[in-house]
Order: sequence, then C-alpha cells, then structure tokens
Amino acid sequence: MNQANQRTTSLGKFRYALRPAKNIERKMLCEAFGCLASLAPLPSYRYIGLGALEFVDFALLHQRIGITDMLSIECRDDAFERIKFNIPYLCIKMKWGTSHEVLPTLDWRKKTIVWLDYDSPLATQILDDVRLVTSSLVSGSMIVITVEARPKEVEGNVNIAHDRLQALIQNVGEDRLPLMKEGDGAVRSLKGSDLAEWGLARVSRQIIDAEIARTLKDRNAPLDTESRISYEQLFNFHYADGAKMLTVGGIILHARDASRIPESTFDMLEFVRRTDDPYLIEAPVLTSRELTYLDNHITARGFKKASWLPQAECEKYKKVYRYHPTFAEVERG
Amino acid sequence: MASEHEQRDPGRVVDASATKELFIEMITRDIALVPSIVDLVDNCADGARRMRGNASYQGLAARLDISASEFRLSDNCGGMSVDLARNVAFRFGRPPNTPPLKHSIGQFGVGMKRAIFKIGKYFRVESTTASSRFVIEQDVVAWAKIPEWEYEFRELEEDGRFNSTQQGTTITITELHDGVAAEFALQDFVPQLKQEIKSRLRDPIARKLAITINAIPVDSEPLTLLASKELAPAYKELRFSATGAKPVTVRLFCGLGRLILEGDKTPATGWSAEIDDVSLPAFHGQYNHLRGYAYFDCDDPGRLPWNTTKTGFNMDSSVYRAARLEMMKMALPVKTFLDRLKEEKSAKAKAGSDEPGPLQSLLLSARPGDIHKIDTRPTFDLPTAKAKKVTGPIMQKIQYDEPLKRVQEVRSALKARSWKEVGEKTFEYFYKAEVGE
Repeated sequence: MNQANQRTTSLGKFRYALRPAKNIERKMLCEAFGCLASLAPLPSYRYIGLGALEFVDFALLHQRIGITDMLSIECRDDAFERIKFNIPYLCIKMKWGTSHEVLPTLDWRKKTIVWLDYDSPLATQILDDVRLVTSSLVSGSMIVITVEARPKEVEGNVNIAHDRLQALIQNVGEDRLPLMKEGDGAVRSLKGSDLAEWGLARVSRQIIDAEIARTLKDRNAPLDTESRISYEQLFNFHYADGAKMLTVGGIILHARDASRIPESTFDMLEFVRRTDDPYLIEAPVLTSRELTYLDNHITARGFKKASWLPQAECEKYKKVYRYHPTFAEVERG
Repeated sequence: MASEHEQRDPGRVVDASATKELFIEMITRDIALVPSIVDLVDNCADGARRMRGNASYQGLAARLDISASEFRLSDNCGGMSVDLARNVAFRFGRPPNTPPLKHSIGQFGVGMKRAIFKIGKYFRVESTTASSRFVIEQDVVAWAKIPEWEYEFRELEEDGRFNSTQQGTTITITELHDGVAAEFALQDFVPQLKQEIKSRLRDPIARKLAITINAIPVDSEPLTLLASKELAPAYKELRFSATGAKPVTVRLFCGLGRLILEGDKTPATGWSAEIDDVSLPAFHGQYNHLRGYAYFDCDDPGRLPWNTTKTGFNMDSSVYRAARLEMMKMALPVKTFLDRLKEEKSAKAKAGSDEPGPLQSLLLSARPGDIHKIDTRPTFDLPTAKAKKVTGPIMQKIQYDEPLKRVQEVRSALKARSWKEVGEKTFEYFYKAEVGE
C-alpha cells in the first residue's frame, strides 16, 4: 500500500485552525452546505471527513448547520489515544483505517457531505476514492476533494518541465492526462510547462472532473433520463497557506431534485465556481488593528478612508472578510 | 418508397444478395466447436427455465450422444411449438417484433442454426409440445444450392395431445464435417466439453437439470465462498429498471475463496475472468483468494450483457457497466483484507514465527460454503483483529545444516529431545560462554 497517497494527519506540523486560507475555505464551504436546506433539513445530513487532530471542520459543521451524524476516517492508529482525546463532540464517530479501506464499507443510503481533504498530491488511490464516493452518493449529497497541487521546485533543474510531467504520470497514469485547449480552440497533448504555477491545480481539477464524469456515465448507463444522477461543480478553490492546494467539489443531483434547488441558490455565493476558472482564496497580510479598523469602515461599496493602507491587501480582505478568522492570544484556564 | 420501387428499371438493379455458402461460412467461423455445442445445450436449459422458472429442474434432462459419425442432443424440456419453428426458431436473427423469450440468454437467434452448420451437413430436428409435433430434416449442401431461405416440415401435427414424457426436442446431425468427426474422436474431447458445460451452465445444473454426455453425467459443484462468523461474504442485489424495458436483476457475491489449484481454473467463475476490468490493481498473487460471482437475469435476454457467443461480456452493455462499478466497490474491502494479511505474514516471517497471525487464523478457520446458503452481509466487513505488534525483543531465525552423525552426537550430549532444542541449547551454551557475563 502506498503510504504517500494516504492522508496522514499532520500531527505537530501545523495547527489546522491557524491556516488563514484554509480557515476561510472551510467557512465558505460550510455556507454553501447550508444551501442544501432547500432539499432536506440540514440535521438529517451525514458528514464524512478525514480526521485530523483538531476536528475543526467537524466542529464548524456541527455548530453552524447542526449535523450530528458525523464520521471521521483516521488512519493514524498509532496516535489512537491522542486523537480520541481530541474529539470535540460525542456525536463524532471514528473509523480507523485509510479512506481507501473505510469508504467501501460504509452504508451510503443517507444524504451525505463528504470532504476528502487529502494533503498529498492527486494519485490513483485518491481517484479510486473519488470514484467510489461518486458511485455511491444519493441525490442531494455533496462531494469535496482537496489535494496538494504544488509543482516540483525548479531548483536550477533545466529539465523541470519534463520532471513535473513525469511526476504527474507516475501519480495518476498516462491515460488520465487531459488534453489541453489552445486559445483558438485547437487541442493538444499536455506538456510539462502546463504544470507550472497553478497549472498542476488546473490539471488536477480536470482529472478529478473526468473521473467523476466517467463514473456517473457508468452509473447512469442503464437508467432512465429522470433517474439519472448528475454532478454539478460548485467549488474550484485555489489557495496556499504554504503549499499550493486545490479544492474541487459539487453537488450530486437527480433531475427531479435539481428543480427544487434553483441554480441561483449557489450562484449568489461569490466564491461558487462552476467552470475551470478557479476562485483564489488569498488571506490579506494586515495587522489586527488594521483588520479591526477595516471592519469598522465597511460600507455597501467597500471600505472608507483607507488610503494609507496597501490597496491590494484591502481588496483581498474585502473579498473574504466575512470568513476571515480572528486570531488572539487568550489565557488558558 | 414503394412506388419508387415499382418504377425501377430492372436493367439498373445490381444484385447484392448473399450466397448461402458465404453466409454459412461466416456465421460458423467465429465460434469454436465446443461453445457452439454449449449453445445448443443452453437452449435445453432455456426450455427448463421457461417450464420451471427459478424452481428445481428435477426430472428434466438433456442428453448428448457424440460419436465420429453422429451428433445427437435430446431433451424433455417442453419442446418447441410449430408456430415458433415456423416463424422464429429457424430464421437467422430474431424478427424485431418477436416477444422476448423469458429468461433465455439466446437473444440473437443464431445459436441453434450456427451449431448445426458448424457440426455437419445433414440435420433432423424433431420437437413435441403438449399440442404440436414436427420434424424438419434437411441436407445442408443441397439447401445451400437453392435460392429460397426456407425449410419444409417433414412431419407436422398440430392440435394434437402429447403427454409430458413425449415432450421435448431432439436434434440429430449426421454427415459430420471432417474436422468435427476428428475432434469427436479425440480422447479428450468429451472431458473438454464436459468442463465447458459445467462452467457455463452451472446454474441449471445446480437446479438439477440432468445433463449427460455419452451417458456420463455432467455434475457441477456449487460455487463456494469461505465463510465463518467473522468472515462473511458480501451480497448485493441490484435492479436496473427503465421505462419500456424489462428490469434486469443482478446478484453479486464477493468474498474469499480457496486457492485454485493449477489446472482447475475455470475461466467462467464469476468475475475472476474479468477482474482486471473491475479496476483492481494488477492481479498480484496476494489476491488469489479474492472471489466474486455475478448473476444477471432478465425476462428480455437482449438486456443481458453477453456477447453473441455467450463466452464473455459485452463491455459496452449499460447494465454491465453499472454492475461493474458495484463489483469494484464490493471487491475493495476484500482486497484490503488481503493486503493486511500479506503485511501480517511478512511481519511474522521477519520475526521468524511459523504460527499463523490473527488474520491468517481467520482465513484458515473459515469453511467453503455454497453461496446460495451461507450468511452474507451488505459489505465484506474487515475483521477488527489487526496484526498484533510483536512484543518483546525483535527475533531472528537461524538455520543451518550439519552432518547428521555430528548433530546426533551433540543431541545425545545435550540430552536434547528435539532438533530445535539442539539448536537452542548450543546457541545458549555459546552465548553464556563467550558473549554474556
């Protein structure tokens, strides 16, 4: 079993709650999950996440949208006691094993929000998980996948483009490489130079999207048009608290449920992205005092009297202020 | 269109009709002899299915008699009505408005004719139902020379009354093709045919359809999976329905099986033949225990995912594609179990222990059971028993050979009761003397 492909809780690497972009993303997702209320009462949903020490996503979803049926898949059984100690709510159940081991053993009859939050790059085993989940989710469910999308460092390597392409092929197999569209509509093979900067994130999204599409094609093959299940992408986040990351996901729907949830429900959220065009989450670099100042000067059109502040940072804050975390030091009792 | 046809100048018409010789050659080329015979026997099983549905076929039989000069297959599985023979059964291809034959896997309307042409140049089909009886007899070579695509009933009785012992079909083929006669004469032909019938017609045989080849019964062991309290195979029933089409029921079983011994591998056991297509990792030795079976059933055989020779899947079939997704899902936990088993075995080997670990013990204590009778679960649960961490110091096994005489001398000097003890005591002696305090 390839350990590198499995999410390993990054114990001690960083405090999850303190990564601002991740923190913002989590709250944005949570807000979008809230829109599912027009399909079914939110507390009737189940949430499946991939562990971690602090259960931040679990706590958020429980507090904000009232989900109580929660399952954490955790492969770090060497930290069994420590992880168990950190479970914030009794309603969170644990399944020990890798996502690859646990996901196929679950009952999928309930509407579910699944967040496959890996911290490794896209690989075959992750795509297997995506396929399994997509083939199992019932209408009204959400699937979200996060993978690392950091291109290999250049470090003076003149063959870097080639090496990046080889690394991707090794991870997902050559048959999964997407074709690239040129500006004039012409189609060509993927090149290593396509993977620089956010290129790997874009390509990873395409590969995940194709896997979902292929799975649904098989799943829907023998079904009538009205019983067919479709996937609508809603999320395409790019962010980097350190390494570049991609989060892609969306809703799984029957035709008859689709009419109950108008597209505008999600499209009112400014971060929803239905296409290849990503939403970049950027946390502004501003002091606490500056953030408080900006909060106090928000108008319908933007911030007032902030000319002495760097405009670029203000703009970033304007986009995310509703989701931006506030960090402060507190005395622990 | 019709008027256009009438006005056509005969001088402008180009003949594009097929010759019967070409046609016969074409339809018989793509099937091997053994599968074509299995096709014929399968028609008997279809008859049994129509008579009894999913109940027992006790009392129904299909009897094959094969020699270098004659092929004969007779059954008592209900027979073929005169109507069916007149309008459908002897046509090449199913007419589009024919109602589907319930539970039949023959959908293309070529199986019987193809088998007959494959085997010989003269045939006789006799069939009796409760109310009708007919005989068709034909010299194929002579028939190929006439332009009409027709046969004539040699004997015909409609509105009769025939009791159940008279009902059935007998197909006799003589003037065998040279190659076929030679094959029939081979020592291993009957065993080969038997094996193929056994694996392709497992279900009807399990329902007690008595099939014999030259009076040798073809028996079939039930399909089994290993089962115990802790290790229960997974079972799932899927139903694919679509408006205007008969629903397809798919029953899937997946779990662990006994290792298949070399030479006993039957290609048609469930999806083991198709395992690579179910997207499991390249088939490593450690997955030899993985076993799955898939049953497809539908009143409309056209919805079943077989290819025309029924020896494999039609991979593009919508039902197959959807079922394959489920097969993959069901196989994953079994695969995980086998991965863990492999880890456990290598950990044991490293520690020099011969004792089976907890997973190995589970596997050893499970017994094969008939898949239709054992307890199943929705998913193959991974037993919670995990490879126990080896406690105490890491161990190393030592092995060496010495001349027997010398070892016996040491053994008696040590008063050791086993060879193992000889090894342990000599090591202990050396350690105390030279290494320890």
